[in-house]
Amino acid sequence: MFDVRHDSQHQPERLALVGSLTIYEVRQAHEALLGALVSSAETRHWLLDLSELEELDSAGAQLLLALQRHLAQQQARLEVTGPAGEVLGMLELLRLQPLYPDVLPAKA
Amino acid sequence: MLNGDQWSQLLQGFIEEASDLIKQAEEYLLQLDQTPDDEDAINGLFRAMHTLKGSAGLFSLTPLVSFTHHLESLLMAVRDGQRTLTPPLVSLMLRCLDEVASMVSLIDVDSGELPVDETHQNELLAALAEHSGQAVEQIPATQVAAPSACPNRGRLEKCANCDADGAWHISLRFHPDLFRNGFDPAAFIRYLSRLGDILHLDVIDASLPSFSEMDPESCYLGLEIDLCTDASKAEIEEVFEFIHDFSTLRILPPNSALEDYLQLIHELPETDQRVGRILVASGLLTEHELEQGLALQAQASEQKPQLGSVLVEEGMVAPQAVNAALAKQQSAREKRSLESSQIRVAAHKLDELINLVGELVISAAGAQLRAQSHGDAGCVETTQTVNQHVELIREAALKLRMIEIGDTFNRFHRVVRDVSQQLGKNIRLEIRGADTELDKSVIDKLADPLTHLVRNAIDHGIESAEDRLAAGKPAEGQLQLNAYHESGQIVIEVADDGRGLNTERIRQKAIDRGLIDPQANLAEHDIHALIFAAGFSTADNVSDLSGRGVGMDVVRSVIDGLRGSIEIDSVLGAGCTFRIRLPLTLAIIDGFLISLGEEYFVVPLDMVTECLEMDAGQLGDSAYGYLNLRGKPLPCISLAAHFDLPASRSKRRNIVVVNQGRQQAGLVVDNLHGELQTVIKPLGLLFQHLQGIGGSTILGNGQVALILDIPSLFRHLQNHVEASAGDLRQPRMDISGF
Repeated sequence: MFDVRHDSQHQPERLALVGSLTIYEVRQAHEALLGALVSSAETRHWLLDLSELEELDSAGAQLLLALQRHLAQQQARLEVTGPAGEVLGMLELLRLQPLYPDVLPAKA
Repeated sequence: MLNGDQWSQLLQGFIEEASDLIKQAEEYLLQLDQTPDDEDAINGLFRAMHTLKGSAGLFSLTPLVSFTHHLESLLMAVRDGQRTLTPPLVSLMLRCLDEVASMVSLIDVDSGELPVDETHQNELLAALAEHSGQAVEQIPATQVAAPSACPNRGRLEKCANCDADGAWHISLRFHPDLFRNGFDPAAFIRYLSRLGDILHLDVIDASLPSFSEMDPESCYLGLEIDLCTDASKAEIEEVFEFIHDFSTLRILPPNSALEDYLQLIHELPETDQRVGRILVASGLLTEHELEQGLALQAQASEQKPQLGSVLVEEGMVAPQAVNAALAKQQSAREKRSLESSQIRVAAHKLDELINLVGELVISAAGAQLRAQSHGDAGCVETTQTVNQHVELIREAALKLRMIEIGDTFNRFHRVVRDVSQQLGKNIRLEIRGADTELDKSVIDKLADPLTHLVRNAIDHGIESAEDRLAAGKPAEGQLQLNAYHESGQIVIEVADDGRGLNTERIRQKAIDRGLIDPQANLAEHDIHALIFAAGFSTADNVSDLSGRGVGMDVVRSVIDGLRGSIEIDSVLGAGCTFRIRLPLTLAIIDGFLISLGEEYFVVPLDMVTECLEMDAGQLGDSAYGYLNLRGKPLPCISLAAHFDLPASRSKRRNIVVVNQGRQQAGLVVDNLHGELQTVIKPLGLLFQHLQGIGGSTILGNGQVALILDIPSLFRHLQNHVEASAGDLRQPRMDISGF
């Protein structure tokens, strides 16, 4: 299951992805994220919270990559936070540096 | 659009395909139970699950898709080396496969609906998750598993260690449908990292459209990978074998010539600069080389040498290694083409064809007979050619129905594994002659009797490990399934090295059940045969598996129904062998035509060993008796007397000696007419109880001939001999001089 929690009350605006983001969920996620981008078109600083994301596959990673590129084109800043476990593993496996969090969690 | 019927038909096709895949998967799993590291088996298993999931998706069988998805994910992890298939995991996977099989069998072909036992599935999935959970703790997900000893493994930086050797460069571009078909490139990268160290990896997102325009389920990505490995090009290619149809793959060996890199740059859809920079960044090209190369690119390039010769020239690999890799690729390709060259045909269509061929055999024989009586030489020659061709068609048609028994045998790995685990016995199954071919309808009917014999052998035959050790046998019991040809018949053996049949106990039981007279003095062999009597069971404790007294008589009747026979070889304390003899096919046989007065009979040719001629006066007119054949008694049946036909008036009689297994008998007949091909027509309901007749056939001249059922004649003869053991007049005559 997938869910986006959009918190537009604080700065930076926060997009928290919850559950799993795989080929089965990307369409739903794409729509939800598009909705968030449209409703907050003026926002210039986003925080992408991946701490509650449990599963990520290449299709999901591609979606995040597209999101990052989109915001970069809009000269908006995207800060990634909280990826862990399998999600972090996927980002590292694909060497998706633009999606690396600013602070890597300490490895156990 | 498809109408309902077409849809049902497609769904039916899927169900068949799925059953095959499940069977394959089970075989692979059992193989992995023995050799957990067998990569081919892991790949095969993965492929089977993946295909199953994909096809189920086409039919919107969502419960099946999601269930197999879990199995597939687990297998993916196994393939990537993150988990190993431990015996408990194999057992669990087998149970999951059973669930998949039961789901497939529950699919409603008409509505396409699939009822699901969710409780059971959730149990299985929870157990699977437990296994997955354990493994994740052992291996942190962030670490890329790399087996090589290179100290820089898994790092993003260039590998200084291996720099001297250079690295393979792999370019991948994916088909947009890659994700939709259930593939995840990340899985292949993980798998690739088992071959060596990924020094460099770039996700090429050049063709990714803007966020609002993208189709999130399409794949827009490409990959540029530098891999430091000892693996061959073929091995690297194999990693991507699954997505062969959904990707464009370019692999450049280490230290490739500059023009190869340039050609690669040229072939890729992105701008030259992008890939060029990646190559420079990864140290495969210098900035200078790149500039020079791009400048040169306009000029006509020299003919590119074959990759193999480049490799050899570069001194990277010995020529043998290239050849070996090529041969491996070749055989993999041949195997693929072999798989795809098979056609699935409905069994009833084959039956129809064989039926028609049968009619053709009869009418061709009729035409030949006509031509011969007509005497026209040209006509005779033509009909002979036609007959030859009919013969060839017949053989080819029969071969269509022949399948190897190996598939049926292999199913017993599972039975043996499950049953022996249940009973706490340690049993090894050995299979021989798996390539022996047998008529499909025979094989189908054999599955149940064989299962029964195998279960019996495990349950009653093979002792517990302690008993075995006490008896001086190895603790591991052995069960053998064996198939081979013997004089036109197929022999199938189920042999164990267990305790053997207890003759005394069987005798006692038979007396208790009133099957034999307590005074009767039976040979050991005959006592053993008593276990086939209805309602007979010697097991002292009735178990789940066998011992309920149903079964052996069913085994016997199935085999009788196939015109076969079964015999037992048992040595107390050393083991027991059940030997089943079956005819090769049920439809057409090579026959030997004989006659009694005006009546024609056919004996299956492969049972005939020799023919003798003798004077009628020496034979007498009783139905049964003995001859002395080269010093051995030969039991004889006078067919005329046996079938109540008028006694023959001819002076000379013929004796056809037939054999079955180790038994021999003589059939006393009037005339011999030689070989002919016979299409067996089953007897109608009215005549099915007839003893000694197995069927009928129509001769070329339109006359009906009856086909003798030799095994039943043998039984009849035996009963008669036993009944009148006292008053046999023997030997009637001495023909030992022959």
